[in-house]
Amino acid sequence: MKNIKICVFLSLVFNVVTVQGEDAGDDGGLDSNRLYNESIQILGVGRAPVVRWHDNIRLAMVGEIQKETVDTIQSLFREISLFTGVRFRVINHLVENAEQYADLLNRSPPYDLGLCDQGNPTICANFVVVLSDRSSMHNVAMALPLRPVFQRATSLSSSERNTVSDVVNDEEAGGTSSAATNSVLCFFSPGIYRNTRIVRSVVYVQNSLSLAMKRTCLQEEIYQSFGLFGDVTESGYFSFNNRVAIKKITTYDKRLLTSLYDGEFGPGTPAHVVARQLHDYCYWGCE
Amino acid sequence: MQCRGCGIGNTISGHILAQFFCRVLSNSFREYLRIVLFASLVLIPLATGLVLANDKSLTVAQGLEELPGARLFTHALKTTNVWQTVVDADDVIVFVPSDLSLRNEGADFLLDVVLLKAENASRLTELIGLHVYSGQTLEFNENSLQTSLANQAGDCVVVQKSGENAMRVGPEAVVTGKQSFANGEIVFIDRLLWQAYDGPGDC
Repeated sequence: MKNIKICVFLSLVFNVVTVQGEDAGDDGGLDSNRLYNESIQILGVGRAPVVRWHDNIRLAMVGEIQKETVDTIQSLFREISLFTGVRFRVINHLVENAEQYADLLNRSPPYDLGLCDQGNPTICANFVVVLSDRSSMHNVAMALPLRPVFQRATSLSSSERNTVSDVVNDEEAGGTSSAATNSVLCFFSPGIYRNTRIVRSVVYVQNSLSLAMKRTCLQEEIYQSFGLFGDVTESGYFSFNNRVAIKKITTYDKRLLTSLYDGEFGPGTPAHVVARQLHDYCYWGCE
Repeated sequence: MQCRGCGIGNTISGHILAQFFCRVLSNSFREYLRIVLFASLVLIPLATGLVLANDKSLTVAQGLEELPGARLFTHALKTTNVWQTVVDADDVIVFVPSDLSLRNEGADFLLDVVLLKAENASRLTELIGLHVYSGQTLEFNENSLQTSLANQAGDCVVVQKSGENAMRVGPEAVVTGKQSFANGEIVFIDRLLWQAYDGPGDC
């Protein structure tokens, strides 16, 4: 009987040692330091405060959008609602296409997204998703408060764009917009108040993309509009990068968003605190 | 007694484990049968996650507490006052995602850490409330493929039949199984239920 007890005890001890060895390894296991560093890169700079939405989302969609795409957008917002606690509602408006919307933006006061609810004009959109063909993209970009270099990138021919996009990416590292490396297929433009809260956002996606690519663009730009502004090239965990490729939001993207919207973290919380919480949870593996 | 040739594992821990099981097995055939029975009744259901006896002598609350593969959801549910509804109510329906499905969805961290904090208590109650419906049963009219359930907060969820035995809850979740109990049923789903879409055509 005593031998059996010793056997059980030892097998438990050795099993724990084996598990630790496997998880701490670099071969296929989770590298918690890498996860931590990449999280900070996605959130901004380590000691800089993170930013997030405090108001509920009032969503407007502009352009000739197929039902399938509308369903995708709403599904994304529902999913984000779960991880952030930020609710959303859809605004009905009269603007029919991106050209009209660009005109409206040009006539509106600075930083006003210009779309209010048809039934109740006191309820105005703070989040606009625009889909259009490529010819309208530049007009929409010019009407938004984007950096000039980025606005120019939306109008150039593809050979010129390859060069300028790299400049855009360098400029925007840790900044407020994202663009594909070889061509601008989609972008987002958030408005940030006093470095702590996101108060509005516009997401633009080319309507002529394949359904899968459109879905990729919508996922990435809408998720990033919630405060995950940075990109990581060759990330082991996150999907946010500037490569043109069909991809999916990862479970780590969702967990980082969850950590960002933890009510324990007040305005001004540094990025490293948010990243540390995810690091600690995933230290022994998250899959 | 020396145990040889069992061939279980090639690590130190595996060897010790093998020795242990060898000794137990060699005691008697009765012991062996007991282990086989234990494995088939306890270990296999534990490994597969969500398997419960369809036991009408148990309540839904007892069923949830014995559920091995839904620890995250059950623990979160028990930290809210919605748990009391599960304990007290007749005809209660609880939609339950397994731990595995929460991990696959990336929602494990949400229920395991973030929403358990005091600062997020109202978010947790609201989310869990979307999964518990009391005083109602999951029944469909003959001519209808969908039915709706309303929770105590006034939120509602639409349940749709999407095939012979297939069902969908809300816009996204798929039903993976059901178990009946004395005061209601547990409906297993493949993901958490999210905020109902605030638009036409729903409840």
